[in-house]
Amino acid sequence: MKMIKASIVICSLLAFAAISQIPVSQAPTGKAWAVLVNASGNVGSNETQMLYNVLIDHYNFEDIYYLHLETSFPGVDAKATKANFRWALTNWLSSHSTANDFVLIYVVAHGGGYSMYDNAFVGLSKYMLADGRAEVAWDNQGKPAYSDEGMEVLEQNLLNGCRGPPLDVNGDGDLDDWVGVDECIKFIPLSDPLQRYWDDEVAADLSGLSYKTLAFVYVGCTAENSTEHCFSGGFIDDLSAPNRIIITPTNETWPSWGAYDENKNLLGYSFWGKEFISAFDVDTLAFNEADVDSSGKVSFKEAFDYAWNHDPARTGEVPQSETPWLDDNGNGLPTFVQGQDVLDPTDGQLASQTYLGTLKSPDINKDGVIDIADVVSVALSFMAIRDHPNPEHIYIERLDLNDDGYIDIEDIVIVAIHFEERYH
Amino acid sequence: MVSKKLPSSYMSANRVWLGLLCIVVLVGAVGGTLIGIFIGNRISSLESQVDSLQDTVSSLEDEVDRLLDELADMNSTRTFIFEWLSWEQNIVNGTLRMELTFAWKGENLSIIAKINDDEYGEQYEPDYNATMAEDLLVLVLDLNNDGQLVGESALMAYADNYTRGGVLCSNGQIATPLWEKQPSRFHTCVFEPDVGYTFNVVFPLVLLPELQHLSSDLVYVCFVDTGGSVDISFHWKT
Repeated sequence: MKMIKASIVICSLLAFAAISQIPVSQAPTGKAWAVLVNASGNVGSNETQMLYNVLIDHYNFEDIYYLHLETSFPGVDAKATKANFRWALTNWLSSHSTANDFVLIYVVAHGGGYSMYDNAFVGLSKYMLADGRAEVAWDNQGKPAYSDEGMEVLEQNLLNGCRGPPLDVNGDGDLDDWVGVDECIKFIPLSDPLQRYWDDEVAADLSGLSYKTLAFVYVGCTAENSTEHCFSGGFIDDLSAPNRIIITPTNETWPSWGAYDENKNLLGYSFWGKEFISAFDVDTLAFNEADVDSSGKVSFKEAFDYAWNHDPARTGEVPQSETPWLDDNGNGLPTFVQGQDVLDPTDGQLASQTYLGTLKSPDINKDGVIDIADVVSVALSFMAIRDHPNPEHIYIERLDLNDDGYIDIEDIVIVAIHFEERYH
Repeated sequence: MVSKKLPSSYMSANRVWLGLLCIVVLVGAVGGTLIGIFIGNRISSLESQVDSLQDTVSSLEDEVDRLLDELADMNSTRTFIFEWLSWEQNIVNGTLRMELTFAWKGENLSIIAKINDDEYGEQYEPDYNATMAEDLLVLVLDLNNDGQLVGESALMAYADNYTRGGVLCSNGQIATPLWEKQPSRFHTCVFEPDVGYTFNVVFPLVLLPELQHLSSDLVYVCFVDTGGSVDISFHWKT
């Protein structure tokens, strides 16, 4: 029935278009490339798969280089290792992306840094150095010291092991020096320090890339031999640069969270990641809700805000907390300085203008079902042109579903293809 | 009969003596009264002190009783047995039996869980590149003594002696930080096909000082198997 109705609509409009000499759609400028990395194990193994499916189903990425510990997953190109990730950035991506392109890098992996989270059951405590790399940033006796992380924590608040003794990082006999802690992404074998991809290394590898806009999303967490952490927000101060959007589900000193369901099965994704990715999934009500400006598209800022409002670990529904961070103005904030988070209310402009693609939702009236009302909405603006010389000519951006500058048969076909679909 | 009039000086002296006698009697009476009052007060004071001492003794006796109870409690072993019939769970074909034993042993809180699951559940863990235990015991104590378990950290005791962080949520979910399993400091587990799992959990005060102030005996125990899970919440001292 759906096919019949859709066919009738399409045929009618194709006939109309044929006699109307409508303009030909043009492809948007610039290409989109993605690198997806999942080294998290079962606790987060499904998250990149959700994103991969959304990108394949709804967005026009030129190519996706996909690394996963489970190489049998659909679309996976190679095993998620440090060497393969570095190769993906410094060879694959650098040879494909140009200064006009959009790049998405989405990483789900264990990590290391400095913990303010306390849970003795798993050997993690407040003030613990958790697989991070501590460097003295300021010596209280005036000796030369430097850490690119700046003055983050006093030695007396840097514990060696769970609820262990304070760590005298430079061995000078006092605990009054300020220390900076480098964060890392951990790859297998998790116990091998050489498989830690340090934030400084990631920053150096990204610096060789060409792009118009780069979005780096890191969902990180770790634990191993009583030294565990998530703390993905710690990558912001290292990776921040012009034309870059850095998004993390938590700040520099706290874990990000996933769940076992009521039957105690691992869901396989983070609370935050599920919401963030759902916001980009055109086939969901989440997309409609995330599209606050009703443009038919969801920007990175809208997806970030949607996840902020729906992440149960952020809203308090889950009795633990995480604070997602976003940086897109290149100033390295938010970050962690002298024991406190330093936020930045000025972020969000670039993220508001950046989309995964140009495709817009066919659910024009956002009622959760694609029906004749949506077809009529587009049809009523048929032959409208974005750059029409007549100032009285009405072109509604929202109805230009493929964003080619023309409201034409292609836009109506997009609605017709989804005819009678219902979003949940 | 001839009356003899006494000399007036003699009369005066007698009056003086009589006056003195009266004074002495009066002073004696007053003094006696005062002494009586004093002694009465003193007795009253001593009585109240005795009462107070009796109260103290009584409260000390209560404290001794309480400490003796606590000592007995700490040295006592409490065992609970829970059963789920075959249609109430998907873990074993017959009745699933969970025997839980709680005991303070010196400075350690010991919890032993015996579960008659005769199949060892395991799965591949890609971040360890190894096959690891899938079955686990979830244990939540009311460490902040607020009478609620939601929000408390959970010990996720896997059958291969690994653990992972967890927090009990109101909807029955267990939220977990996205970190990998790691060797447990608090439990060991033995699996015998004929008997099932025996989880031996020991919380030493030295590693978990929160237990020093543990007054709530509310506990949540959940056994998770490949086929499903069973859980129970109860007070383990009463």
